[in-house]
Amino acid sequence: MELFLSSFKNAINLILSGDTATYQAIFLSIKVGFTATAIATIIGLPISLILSTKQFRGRNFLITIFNALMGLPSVVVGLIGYGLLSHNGILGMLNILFTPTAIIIGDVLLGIPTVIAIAESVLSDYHKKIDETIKTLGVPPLESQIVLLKESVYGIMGAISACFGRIFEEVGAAMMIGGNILGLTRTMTTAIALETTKGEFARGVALGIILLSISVSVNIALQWFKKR
Amino acid sequence: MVQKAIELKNIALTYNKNWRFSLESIDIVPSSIVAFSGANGSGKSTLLRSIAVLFKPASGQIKIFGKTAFMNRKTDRVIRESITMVHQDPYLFKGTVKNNIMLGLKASDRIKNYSQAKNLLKLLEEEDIENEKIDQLSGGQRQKVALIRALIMPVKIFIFDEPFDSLDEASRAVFSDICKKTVQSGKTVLISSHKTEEVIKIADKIYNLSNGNLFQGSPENNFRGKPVEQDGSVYFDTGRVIFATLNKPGATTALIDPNAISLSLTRQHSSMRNCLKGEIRKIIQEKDFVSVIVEAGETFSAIITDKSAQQLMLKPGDKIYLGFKASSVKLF
Repeated sequence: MELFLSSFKNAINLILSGDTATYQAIFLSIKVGFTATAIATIIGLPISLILSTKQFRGRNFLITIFNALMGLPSVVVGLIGYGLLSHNGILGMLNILFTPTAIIIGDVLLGIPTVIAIAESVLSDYHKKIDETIKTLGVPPLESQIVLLKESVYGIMGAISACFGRIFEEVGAAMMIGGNILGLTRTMTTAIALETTKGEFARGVALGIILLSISVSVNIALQWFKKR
Repeated sequence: MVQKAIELKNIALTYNKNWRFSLESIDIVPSSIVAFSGANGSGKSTLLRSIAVLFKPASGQIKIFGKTAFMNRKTDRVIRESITMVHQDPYLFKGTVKNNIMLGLKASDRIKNYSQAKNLLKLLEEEDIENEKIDQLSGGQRQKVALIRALIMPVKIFIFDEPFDSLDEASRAVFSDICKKTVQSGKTVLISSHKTEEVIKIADKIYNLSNGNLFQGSPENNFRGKPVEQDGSVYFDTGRVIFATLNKPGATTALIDPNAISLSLTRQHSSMRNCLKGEIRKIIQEKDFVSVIVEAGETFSAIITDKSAQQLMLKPGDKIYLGFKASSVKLF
């Protein structure tokens, strides 16, 4: 308990002092987190729209797969990413291993199933509710999709929020394909892992506080938007 | 020859594994109001959804203005352009009353049709809710918005599933008038309701769904005619039969609850002023009771218990006496 309290006190000092390493990790995490979430949403949302509104062979199988991939361990994504992006890998010529770009790619792969699985569930529910009404009002197909998205907006924001949470808080992919390089690819989560093993508990706690604060803030913003 | 608005042939509807509904043939012409009555769960909504080209029947054919439905998605979309439907529990979209009403209108129709919508809001005494958010509305207001949203659509067939639910008496009367005016311009209106007393005031034809079948006429004994006075008492004359009733000048429709009709094998001398002799045409075994269709000048329907039916040992072709009180005849 004393360890926590003293580390907490040191953590506040680190935050207030503007410690360079700490803030580099924070800004990189935010950049990677938001970028990967945006890309995962742009790719995942149209797929979830198709899955929720169209009937085709293999649809249920695909939904099951995406739901299962929500639990894909981030370290497995890191492993696969490393294999592909290393010099001997088939994408080795891109030279992006141990760069923020590589982390973003890994996080997008982690985030897409989350967006698809949750958004599909929400969109399917609303599609069932509104489909016949939309048809009886003669709304054209493209406009119908927009209406569906508008009706499901809170659920979709929940999907995006869950995706962001998954990406923001993952360690495995960032560690393995980012390399945890100080000032370049060290995110908050990889920094926490490193600092704790080094015995720099205070820095780990500082980053943990900020990590939690950002996560909670995103959710609070979502709730506020819903109430509006 | 007037083209039929709706043609249904050999329709079988399977709603779930335990339930099946079938009908041989119905033709509905334009400029008419057709009602479908029946108990909850009898299949009214499913039938209407099939006519609205939203629910494919297990077998049979549906034609809307000569075009066969459920052939392919493109044709169905074209057919649906001439139909709109308000479901029993209508869905209203996020936003305001105005957003909802305008949703089904093309940009070119909005100005003209929205002024029509404002008139309808006024008629239904809801002119103040135009800019209200949907989640602020009561159940009755939501129903009105859904009805108006449909009524301003430039379609030829309007389908309303239980429209009278959630409406107060005044609004029901207004909505009934709107339906009558709608068909005067060549449109067709289909209504389903378990409130038979509402639909019989406006419907040109009533179909009853019961026990997986559909037959024309209402088992609630709906008769058109006029009150007449004889020997100081008031009777209702349908043109084929006269029965005693209470005075209601100007009434054109008489309704007799099938539960209020008693059956006997011999003429009874009782306080019931009406005792008509007839012949049993059909006996329908329902879940908890027996419906007996009797021809006694008009076609009457009486409901008796299973035990009564067994005791009387009724069968089609038997001569039977129908008894009912004058007070059980409701005039409209």
